[in-house]
Amino acid sequence: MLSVRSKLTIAFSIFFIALFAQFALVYYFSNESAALITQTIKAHEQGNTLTRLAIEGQKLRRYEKEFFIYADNPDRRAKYSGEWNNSYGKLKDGLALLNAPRSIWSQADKERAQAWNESLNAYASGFNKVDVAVNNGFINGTLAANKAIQDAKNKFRVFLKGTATEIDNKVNQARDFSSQVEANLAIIQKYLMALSAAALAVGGVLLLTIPRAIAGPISELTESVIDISKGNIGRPVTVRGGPEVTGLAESVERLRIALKGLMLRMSKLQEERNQRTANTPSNKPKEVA
Amino acid sequence: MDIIGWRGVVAGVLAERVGILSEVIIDETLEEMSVAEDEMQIHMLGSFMKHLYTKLPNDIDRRKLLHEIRDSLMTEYHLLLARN
Repeated sequence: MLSVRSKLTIAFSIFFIALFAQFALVYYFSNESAALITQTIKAHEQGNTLTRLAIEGQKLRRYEKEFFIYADNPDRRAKYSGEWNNSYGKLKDGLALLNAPRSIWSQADKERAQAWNESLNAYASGFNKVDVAVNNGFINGTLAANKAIQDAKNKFRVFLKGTATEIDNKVNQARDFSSQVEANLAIIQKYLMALSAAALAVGGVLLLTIPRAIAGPISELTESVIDISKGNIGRPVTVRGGPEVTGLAESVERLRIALKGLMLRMSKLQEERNQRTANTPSNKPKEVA
Repeated sequence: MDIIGWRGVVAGVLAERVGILSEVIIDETLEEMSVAEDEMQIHMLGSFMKHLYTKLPNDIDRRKLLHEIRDSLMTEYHLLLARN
């Protein structure tokens, strides 16, 4: 049978291991989740920036169409040309931010932004040429203007399609990161529940066994010692338990046997003494003459 | 042949079971045999064991205890004792 000390050592070891496992688990997965959350936020920010750029790109196309629709109306034409230039400026600023040295964008993103910038430049160059030609009367009417910008418009598709694709990518990335965070939280929850259940089960078993293992044999032994102290030395001291208590019980049993043997010998001696006293001539009753 | 220190060996094994009574039991056994402690010879050990058996308390496994004493003496003095 295990000693009380071993039982307590095992119990505390199990609790320490469970606590350490919980700490390690939470530490590892929370760190990983924190990194994933940062990446999710970054992907969201990138997605938002790209969405704003894509919107400005679509605005350019709309202002270009309005410009061509009102190709014969100098005032409206000038208004939409101004709007176009305004959106163009915003787009240029946005793309410049993507290429900033300490930005959240990767090298691949920066290379894509470079290609988009070239696409925007080609489109702007084409639009400006058509704008000048329309203003100077070299191109007349919507259809002619539309035809003249066709080539530049095709080059701008690189920007429009690229940003749309990249927005999808960033959204998907953010979704993947969020899913991983969710998966991590699920793992933490699952393992914490399993560890807690195991710790509760072990704790429950130890709670039931350890106090009984300590108190039971001690109270049995106490009863035996009380018996001996009252003179009832006939009952052997038998205590089941850990080595600490059984060792003590064996010592008490030795004492009981020794005490019993000594008492027997004392009574025997007393009996012999009484016998001798009775047989001494001086104590014999005198015969009556 | 005298065997020196036999009493210590026997008392040591006996004390494991009967504690302080061990010395008393040995004295009683020697008295019954009418032999002094320093007169003990190897050939007397068998008789000593027989007398000792009668002096041991009933609460213990006497046969087992005698075997233990015999084994201890054999180990200590490289003796061959007859089994009781």
